[in-house]
Parts: sequence; structure tokens; C-alpha cells
Amino acid sequence: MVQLGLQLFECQELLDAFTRALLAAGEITEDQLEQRRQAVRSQGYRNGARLVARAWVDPGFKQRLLEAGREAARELDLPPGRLGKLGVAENTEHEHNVVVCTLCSCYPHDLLGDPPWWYRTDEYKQRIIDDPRAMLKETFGFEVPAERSIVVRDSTSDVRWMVLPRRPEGTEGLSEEKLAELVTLESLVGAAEARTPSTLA
Amino acid sequence: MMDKGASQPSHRYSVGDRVRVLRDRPDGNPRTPAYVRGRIGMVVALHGQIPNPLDHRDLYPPLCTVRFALQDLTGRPSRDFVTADLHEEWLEPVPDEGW
Repeated sequence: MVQLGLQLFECQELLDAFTRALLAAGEITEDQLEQRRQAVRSQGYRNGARLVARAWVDPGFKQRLLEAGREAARELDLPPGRLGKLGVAENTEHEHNVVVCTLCSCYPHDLLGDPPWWYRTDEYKQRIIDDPRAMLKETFGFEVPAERSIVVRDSTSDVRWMVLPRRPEGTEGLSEEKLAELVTLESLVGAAEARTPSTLA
Repeated sequence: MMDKGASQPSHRYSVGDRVRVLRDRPDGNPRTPAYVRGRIGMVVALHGQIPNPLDHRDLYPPLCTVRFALQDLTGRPSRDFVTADLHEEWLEPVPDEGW
């Protein structure tokens, strides 16, 4: 077994290369990959995507989500979970939020499913506190504009944080369902923005 | 950010207060990360006492979200911030420099 002393961004590259190699070798097909992506989409974090999409179209709901967290989830018939309080950090043009749990890996997983795999890595926990701007850029290719402050939210107690990403430009006519498709697992943690409509199939 | 639904029985601090995190608090909740100990931040949200029976049986002291300037933590220039959720037994007031 080869020992791979990989850094996080290298893991991402390796995963991409591995996926491309599987496709090239005919081990998997584009269809299978897409099916798998669909299946993953139907998992827990889609709850988060629905919360975000509703918040984008309904300012009253957004306010309730920011203030009462889990209780607002009931309005979408989502099981609100009961692991402490749901904290919702709203991204604005002035502030970008990113979530971490430096002590373990707290996350509102009873409501949102599992966090991204790298959320549990020591490298993420250390670098996102030490230099969040460089971490987001170098590992996730996400460059937060210089005029926007980054707020790293360390989930150190009974508040389980999620990010409410900004609504992308050019989405005025989209249905709530389509809007939810723009919300990725990464954007719920703050490692990315929501997708733009041009990336929708 | 404020949770109007949560009980807020006896918060010692208010949003906007400057606080210093104690360096040590042997009988306090252990989940105060080392990198904020002894540091000064600002209370930005109050959470009251959050029941979380799956993780702990008893209620902890009232919980605050405290925001720290990243440059105060690392010594490097930055306009970014880190917040940590800290129980009040770990915090002490910092008088306003006010002039």
C-alpha cells in the first residue's frame, strides 16, 4: 500500500483524477456518475438546500430561520433534530461565513446529514482558523473578495452552525425547487458560494 | 442570530460587550479552545442555556458567541474574524477604553 502524505487540496485533485481515470477506462459511465450524484443530492444536505432556497424567496421565513433555527425547519416538514441549537450564519456582501469545529466535528448532521468528508480533517480545522482566506483559496479554489470579511465560526458548544449562502445573481425567475439545486454541501459550510444558474443542467 | 425562543435566564453580558477569555478555568466547561484563552473579543450573540440531553445531562451556564479579530489571534494583519461559542463562566468584562 502506497503511503500518501497528501494535503487536502491534493486529495481533491486526486479524487478528480481518479474519477476521470475511471471514466476513461470505462469502469464507470457518465450516466452512473450522474445517478450517483443524484442519489447523493437526495441525502441529508438537501434539507439544508431547501431551507436556503425558502429563505431566498421568503424574507419572513429567513428571519425565522435566523432567529429560531430548528423551529423554522418544521415549516418545511423537515425533522428539526434535537442536537442543541441550530445556528444560521448569513452571508452578505460584506461578510462571508465558514463553519468549523476545531474540537471534534460538530455539525447539524441530525438536520443536514453528514458534512463534507474533509470537515473532520485536522488540516482543515487548523488552517481555517490560522488563515481562512488562504485555506479557501488554495484548497477549494474559492477566492473571497478582499473587501468581504471572512467570519470563521468555530462550533465549540451547543450551537450547530450552518451557512446561509448568498443568492446567486440572475436567479430572479427560478422556482424554489430550482434554487435548491444551486445549494451545494460545500456552500452550507462556507467552502464555496452557491452555484450559478449557468451550471444547472 | 439572536434566538428569541431560547431561555435567557441570567446572561451577565449583552451583545456588544467586550470580554476577555480566562486563561484557565479548571471547573469550567472544557470546550473552550486554547487559541482564544486570554484573548479579548466582543459578544455578538446570546444563546441562553441550551438543553442538549443527547450530549450532556445538565444545563451549562449561559452561552455567548464571541467574535475575535483574527489579527489579535495570529498577530498577522487581517480583516477577518473567528467566533467561538463560550460559556459565561469563561468570560470576564473588559472596561471600555472609552474616550
